Amino acid sequence: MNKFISVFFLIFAFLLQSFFTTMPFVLTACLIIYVLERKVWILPVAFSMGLFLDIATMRPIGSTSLFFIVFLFVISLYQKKFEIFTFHFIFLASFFGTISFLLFFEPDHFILQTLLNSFLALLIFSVLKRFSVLDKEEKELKFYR
Amino acid sequence: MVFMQKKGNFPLFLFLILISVALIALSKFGFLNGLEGLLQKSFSPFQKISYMIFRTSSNDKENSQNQNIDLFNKITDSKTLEKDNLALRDQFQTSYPKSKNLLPAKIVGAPAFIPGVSEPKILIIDKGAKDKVKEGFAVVYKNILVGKVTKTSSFLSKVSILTSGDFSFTAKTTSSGLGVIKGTDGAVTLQNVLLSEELKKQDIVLTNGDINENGVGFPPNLIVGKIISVEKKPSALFQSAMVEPILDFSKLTMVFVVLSNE
Repeated sequence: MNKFISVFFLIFAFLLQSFFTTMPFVLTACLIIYVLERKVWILPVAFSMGLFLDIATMRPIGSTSLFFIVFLFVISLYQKKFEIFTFHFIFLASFFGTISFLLFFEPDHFILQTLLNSFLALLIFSVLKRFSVLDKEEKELKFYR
Repeated sequence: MVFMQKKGNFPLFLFLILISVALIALSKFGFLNGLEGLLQKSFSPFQKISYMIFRTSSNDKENSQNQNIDLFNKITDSKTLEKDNLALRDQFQTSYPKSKNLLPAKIVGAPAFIPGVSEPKILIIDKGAKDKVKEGFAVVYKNILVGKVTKTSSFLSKVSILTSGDFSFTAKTTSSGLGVIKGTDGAVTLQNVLLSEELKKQDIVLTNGDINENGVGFPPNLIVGKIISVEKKPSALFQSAMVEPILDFSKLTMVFVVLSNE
């Protein structure tokens, strides 16, 4: 996937979550980018996003970062045994990630928020997956040329 | 593509987890207050602009689609100024609380589940400890109670709204019933009112005043809301009532911190 799209997606999710809504869009963004990219840079980015969120929402600094890193760590463990580039994984990971995040930080309307966020994650994943596949095909073509 | 499982990133995970834990500990003990303040100060203008852009775009979608960025910014600025002027004029025409005790503060963040539809539980305002704001100070709009300051940093403060359920306080009705106000899931209830007291629909609920020795707390006679239903059972010890706040907290752009309770 194009790095520009990833960065834009993360910044947009950050703006929405820090000033406007309680839904954990940054968590969803990190999950989707991790699944699509599977590169190391997403870890420090998730960590920094967590720090910025803590500063903007006045939570103890480090708490959201810790949650994001532990969440990605659990996914990386799961990834060693099973395939994660699937819709059902995105839905379940987003569901459990969101529900845990909301129970820790924003317990208001957590079931409704979790369901909405999980379906949004599916939708965004299906769109970004196309970019990712197209990008991969383009790279392969360049390689063979 | 470099896959993470091949590289074995356990040390990086562990490193970031340890840093996070250390940061939480330092933040809890207040060692990061200075750094946090600096970062919040640098974020603050950005936060204000983002908040106003999102707020304006949600209110006036049709117009915003047809405007270029310059025009959009001008309109946002003028609307902000107009709202601020109106809020300031209204507040300073209100005789109580005294305007010299009030600190105007702009709302820079109000996260809610569905913005504009759900009520926010907290507000982030652009005034902090540097402006002498302390935890526990009341936050009002005109003479209506909005909530109280629950956390401060150097340049920002977090305000818990009346309906958030984060705090409770004593309140009285205009027909002199005394009870305890508690926020629960977006609603406010007046509890622990003696059966002998008379609670009526449409009665106005006011703060009773519970300022402690440090001058922190709610001043008396701020409007909390009006009673919309009363629950009274002869077998129960107390009666309770549902109270509807007068303000729509999701529409606020400016509030006032009660600095001194003289």
